[in-house]
Amino acid sequence: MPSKKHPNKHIEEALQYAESRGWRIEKSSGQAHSWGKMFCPENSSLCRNSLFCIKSIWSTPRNPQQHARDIKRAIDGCTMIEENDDE
Amino acid sequence: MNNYQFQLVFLLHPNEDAEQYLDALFEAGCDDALMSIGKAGYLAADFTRESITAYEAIKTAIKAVTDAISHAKLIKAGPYIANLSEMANLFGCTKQNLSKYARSESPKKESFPCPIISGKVDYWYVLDIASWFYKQDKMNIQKQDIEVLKAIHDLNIAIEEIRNQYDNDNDFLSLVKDIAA
Repeated sequence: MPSKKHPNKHIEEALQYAESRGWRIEKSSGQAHSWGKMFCPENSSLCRNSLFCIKSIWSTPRNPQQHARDIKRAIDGCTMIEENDDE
Repeated sequence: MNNYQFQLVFLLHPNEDAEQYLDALFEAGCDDALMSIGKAGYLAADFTRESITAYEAIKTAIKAVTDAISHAKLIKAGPYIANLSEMANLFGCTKQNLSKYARSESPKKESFPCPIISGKVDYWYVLDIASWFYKQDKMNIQKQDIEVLKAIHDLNIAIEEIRNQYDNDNDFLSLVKDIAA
């Protein structure tokens, strides 16, 4: 469970999904708009140069439900997990 | 208004951490994007932007990023080139389902588009595959999906042209002019 919950229930649910898939959630400090970050468990330079292994989560995105959907889609889009499924 | 989903990847200064720009990106209007900051010197933004046209959505998104980070250089946009796994995630179906279409041959139907990269894993232009399904009314692909994929495809070609600085004397241009599909 995240040490501190995201105030939006849709995003909080997406973050719990992230944790269930092994992602680590870290709350930001000192940022006005970035609520926190999520870290992919694979964190591999073989997966798209590791650019997508750290994502920023907004405190108040324009559309929180869409932000939650985008987070879930990003988790499912990790190429390492898909490659593992293939083998 | 439609929702357009696309990804923009930017080059920053070498080894620069994109995290320092998050507040500026939010304030410039990137609050409808999921930012990826896992590689120093780069920033990727996955937008889901409501707009009248795909072109307008992409144009305003690029402007929002460059307003926040004036030295950010656009290096690629997506979805552009993908394998079956990536397209399955994109279309919300299984890879097995896509493979079935890729392998099947039916004389009645237009054949599945040719991959642009063939190897252990094949890669296609996402626009080709989405258009193929759209024509057959499959995979629930909408007109605005094709619109944004076409815009992203054109944007990548524009980026490549600027990067390569093709000139009109390029021998290959005249060679392929009449024969390229």
